[in-house]
Amino acid sequence: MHEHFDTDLCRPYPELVEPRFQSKPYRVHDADATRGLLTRGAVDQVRRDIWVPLADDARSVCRHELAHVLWSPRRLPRVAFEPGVLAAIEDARINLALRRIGTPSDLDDEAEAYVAMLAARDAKAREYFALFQRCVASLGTSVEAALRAQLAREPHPIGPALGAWMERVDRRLEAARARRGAVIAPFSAALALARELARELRAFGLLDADGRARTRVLSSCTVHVEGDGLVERGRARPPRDEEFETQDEGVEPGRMTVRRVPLEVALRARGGLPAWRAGSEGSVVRFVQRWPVDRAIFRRRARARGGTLLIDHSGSMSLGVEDLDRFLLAAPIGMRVAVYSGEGAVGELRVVADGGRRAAVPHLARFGKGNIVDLPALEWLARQRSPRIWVTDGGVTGVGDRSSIALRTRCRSLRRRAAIRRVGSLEEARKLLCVAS
Amino acid sequence: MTETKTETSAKKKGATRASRIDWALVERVLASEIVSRVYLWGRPGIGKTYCAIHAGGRGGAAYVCTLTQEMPSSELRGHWIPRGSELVWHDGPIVRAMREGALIVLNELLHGSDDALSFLHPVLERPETACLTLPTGETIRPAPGFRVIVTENRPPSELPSALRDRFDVTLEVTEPHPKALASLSPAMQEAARRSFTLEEDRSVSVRAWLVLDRLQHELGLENACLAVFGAQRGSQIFDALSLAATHGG
Repeated sequence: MHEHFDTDLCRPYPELVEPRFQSKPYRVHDADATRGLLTRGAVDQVRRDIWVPLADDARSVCRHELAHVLWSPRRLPRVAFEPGVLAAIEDARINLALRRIGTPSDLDDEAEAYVAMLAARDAKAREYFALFQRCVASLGTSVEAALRAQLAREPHPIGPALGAWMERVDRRLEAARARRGAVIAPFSAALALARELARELRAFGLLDADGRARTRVLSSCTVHVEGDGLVERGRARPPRDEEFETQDEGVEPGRMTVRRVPLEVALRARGGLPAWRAGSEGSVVRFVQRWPVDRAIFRRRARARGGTLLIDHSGSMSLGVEDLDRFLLAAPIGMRVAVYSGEGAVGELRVVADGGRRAAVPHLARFGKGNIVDLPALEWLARQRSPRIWVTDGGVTGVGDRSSIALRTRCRSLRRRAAIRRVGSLEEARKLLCVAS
Repeated sequence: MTETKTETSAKKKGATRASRIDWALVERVLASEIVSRVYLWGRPGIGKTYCAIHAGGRGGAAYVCTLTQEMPSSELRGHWIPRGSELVWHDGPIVRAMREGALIVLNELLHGSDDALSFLHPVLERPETACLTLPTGETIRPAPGFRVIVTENRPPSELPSALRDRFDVTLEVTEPHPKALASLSPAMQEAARRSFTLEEDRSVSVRAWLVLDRLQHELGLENACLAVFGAQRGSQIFDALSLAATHGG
């Protein structure tokens, strides 16, 4: 049906979940391609950003972040101790509620083993604060049992206390929930528990006199970045827009706008296909000789070719307006043609021909010198009618016109899944279209 | 001084913000006797065609036609059909609507071929000057009550200027038709209202919600989501709907 979308475009819907609807949509980021994010998911309800892995195996992460949107306060209150303590208990509150409503955060075997390995590493490195956070936050998830078993198997100084705290958080949140008769414990219960836990962690020496962690701090997945407050207090936050360009592995694709320009000029070329066919109904008689044979004496317009052509219009392609104009003059009727390019962190995809019409020459000018939006442009192409042809020199970049292995891999896999054929130049595209006809 | 500060500020806001066209106004315009050529546009699946047929038809006959690149003008105007050993003229929907003084709803005008768009020029003329001479030699003029309503997803700025100029009114609708929303269950209504404003990649049309709403009674919500939206997107929508259902819990 018309509502089916490509896997890469499958994004969560926090707007459907939030208790009070706001018209501004959330910006959905790919957590796997975002540097500086220490968890696989995060949500900022104030700025309306959500980070989740845009992958097949990330459903439980998405569900967890959606649950934050539904149940967590928009801003976590400022506390006089390490915010990570409150964040861990808030994660436990969310996970326990998800388990209660029958949609628990179940990780796959690989992810469970990975979390257990991280916990073992924390214990080995004596990162007890991180271990505390990890174990408490795992309550209600499928990894909880594995972590409990690990604590029992490999005893260390804080092991008994940690096990007791896991029990306590579980029991207290459940009691608070039951008193309220709801599916989730009130946030006030989590806050009270966090204060108690912070006091105990201070007694263990894991927090200093100011309530700050002595060792490294995991990030919370419910964040609100405001000034430098959280950076200083929590030392972990999702990256800001300008930081996307400083990475190599996780270059974020630029933000793309799809622009529809007026398609004022009629296309004439049919790429070798006949413009007319004979039909037995019509109003213009053209094939009188067929009357005794099949009575198809009328002229009918022949079916146009479909398909979509996406043209990389960045500087490296060296395509002038005249080149595009010449190409569009020969573009077959029925083909959708779009060009894209970008600058800095944004890019534009412009549909310059569709159906039997094309844009006038002034609309063929380049938007920017860089690629920037190769991935979103390919995602757009993947949703269009096939055959899908991508005219590019092969360079793939994101924000700041920087490339990365991860970005190239994502583009490659999308190309494979959506059966997108790549050609190096307009000339090759023209030849391909002629052959296809 | 009788005017309070709040009132003044509200007036200022009203003066600076662009007004939005709501469905009530659209229905009033479509019901008007004065207006006979309407361009109604907005996002897919919000009830444009539904409204055009029900509000624009004024209870009379209505013909509906969706234009495509392959559709020649002869399909709109009429054509010869072989019957035995002779050819018989068969009126197209526009000619029939002109003869009967009925409503013709044209969907997806911008997908139409040049041939079809050119044919519409005389049809969209003012009633006093609109006339068509058919290949049979007959000249027809629109009977009283003849109206054309075009529904489109794209703005009228993409039309050739000569055609654009022929419409009496151009109405952009930005929200789903209240009747379409009202036919959804309360939970789906809220979801439909919220999802409609999302960006193109994530927005869901009211049409899809309508199908989901009906199908969930037969298949259950999760399977209905998967069937309507596909595996990946369906899972996301199912998770969001089931979480939203616990709100207040």
